[in-house]
Amino acid sequence: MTALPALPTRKRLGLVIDLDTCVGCHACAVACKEWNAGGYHAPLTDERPYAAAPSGIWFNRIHSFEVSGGDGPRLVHFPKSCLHCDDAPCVTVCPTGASYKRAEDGIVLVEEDLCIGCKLCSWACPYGAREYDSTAGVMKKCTLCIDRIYNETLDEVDRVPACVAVCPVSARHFGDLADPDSQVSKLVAERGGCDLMPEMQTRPVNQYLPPRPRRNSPGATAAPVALAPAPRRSSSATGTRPTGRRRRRPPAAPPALAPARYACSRRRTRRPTT
Amino acid sequence: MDRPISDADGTADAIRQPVVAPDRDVRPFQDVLLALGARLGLPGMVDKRGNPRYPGGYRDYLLNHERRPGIGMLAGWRGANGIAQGSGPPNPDQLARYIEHDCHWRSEIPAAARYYKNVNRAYLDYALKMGFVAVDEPIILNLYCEELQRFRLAARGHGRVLPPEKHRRRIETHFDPLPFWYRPFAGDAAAAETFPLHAVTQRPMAMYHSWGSQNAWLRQIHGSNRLFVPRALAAAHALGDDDWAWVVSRNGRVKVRIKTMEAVNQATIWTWNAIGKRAGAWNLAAGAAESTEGFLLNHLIHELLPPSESGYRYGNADPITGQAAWYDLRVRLEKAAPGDQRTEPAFPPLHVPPGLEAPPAILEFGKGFRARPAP
Repeated sequence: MTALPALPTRKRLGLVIDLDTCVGCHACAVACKEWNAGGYHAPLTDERPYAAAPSGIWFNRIHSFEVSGGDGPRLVHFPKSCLHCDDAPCVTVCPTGASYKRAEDGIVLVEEDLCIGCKLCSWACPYGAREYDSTAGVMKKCTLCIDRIYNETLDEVDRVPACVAVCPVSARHFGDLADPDSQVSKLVAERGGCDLMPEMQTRPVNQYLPPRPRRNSPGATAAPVALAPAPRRSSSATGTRPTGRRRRRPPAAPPALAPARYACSRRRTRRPTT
Repeated sequence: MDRPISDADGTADAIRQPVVAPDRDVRPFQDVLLALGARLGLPGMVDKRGNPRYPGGYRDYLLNHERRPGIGMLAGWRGANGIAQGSGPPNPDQLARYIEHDCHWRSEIPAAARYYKNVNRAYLDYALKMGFVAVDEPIILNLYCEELQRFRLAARGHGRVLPPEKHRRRIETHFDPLPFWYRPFAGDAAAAETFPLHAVTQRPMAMYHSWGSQNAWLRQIHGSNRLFVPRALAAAHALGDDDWAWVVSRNGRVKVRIKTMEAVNQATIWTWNAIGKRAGAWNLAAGAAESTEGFLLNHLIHELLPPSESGYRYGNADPITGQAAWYDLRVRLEKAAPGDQRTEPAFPPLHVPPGLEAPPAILEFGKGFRARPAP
């Protein structure tokens, strides 16, 4: 089938996605759709766009979960796109060479002219990150906005994937994960970034930063348990002010909570870089 | 002129420039408004002789309108030599300067002026120079609002102008010069018993991120909505995920599909707003999820409050600002009997207006932008 380049690739360009700060707003998904609808894989076809059960191509999809237990319920928003794996099973399974990993920067691409639409790659990808265009009969996927990041007609500051450029909370970061001194590598080291589903041994380039323990006890935030009671105003001064309920005693501080464990389920295994 | 783009560290504004001339007999919206204003002889739109004050249309207006001397529509490159910032006489070359600078202008706020701006001497000097303020005195943020107190005093019979007798009690109560909390009008004691739950909505964030993109995309993200119900509350009503329930208020009832959730106040149910749509609207086909599963809480909310003792019905709104009191909604939940698996009230599809193109079965927006031909 199709061979991977010599690993590790010279650069490992990818995303670092912060699950702690992502608010699930879909700005990245919409910006991705807008840019890529006219980009390398244009169009991102939509079927039945105005009817029941519409279905379209999205390189970036957001899944939102409510996590119970631990330190209480919390919402986790999980954006998912191609992780540009080192051991990309979508490449090695490709019978025509259409699906390939670039030696120079590690980006996984599909060459539509070579794609026969057999969908083996979408079966092989454990993340469901491939998007089949049944109108064109070819597989499409996240290109890491290859038509932005090397695009010299854009200002340098804009040469990042559309999803990164648009994120209103800076939960998405782009850089070279092969360079231990890059900002993204430092972020991964500092925040315990991890592989998605490491048991699949795909060694993804993209990294996820796990949600941090909640700081919802007064001690954790340096906030007082309750505000000091306001001085009582005399009722005569306010005329017919509606009488509120009697002031309740401030609630007792909840016991300090043990930090929740959101660390990676398994340590990443890195192939030696020699 | 485009929407303001200033930020905390700088003052900025921007224009958009026409890049192609209209190819048919139409005129820009702003030009037409100015022409209408001149024809109607509106103040500020005509000169002393009654001739149009801005015969050059919106371009003329952008350059020459001043709301007070030196303060115009655009703050950059003002003055005869084009070097004044913020305030200065009109500059006939101003728009050319904007176009040379990627259609925007920005002035950095001095470092010493970037904090406690309301009482920061450096900032107040800057604000005066820019024309933000008319005097450079400290801007004191008043918690006590004298204007409201004047209304209250009038309601108590002070002054020459007094409010109508029937409104006095309400004005005296709510025009409080200090912020205070009161029980929402819709949440009186009777309502609390019959309608023990709060129901609130929030517009999906994706909608804010894509005004300029195709809404056919958005409906793939939020094409239907569920009512989010605290898990314990759902259990008390024998409801589970995807079950159907009625949300009932004083004003009506809506049949909805539910999803249980923990991260919500135990007496509050909520849903995404602006998803429910009637089939036919937005060119949606009959059977589109927006019409069969999407719902709005609008049916539950009346624009008026129940009649007061005198029979008068006040608006269901904040008594000071008039802001609609949507978040005051009180409801109860009822499990729906087995029946049609669709939201109610249900309406027949809207008639599609003549001339509206039928929706495409396949949407290939962007195909024409592709740099290389598709295989």
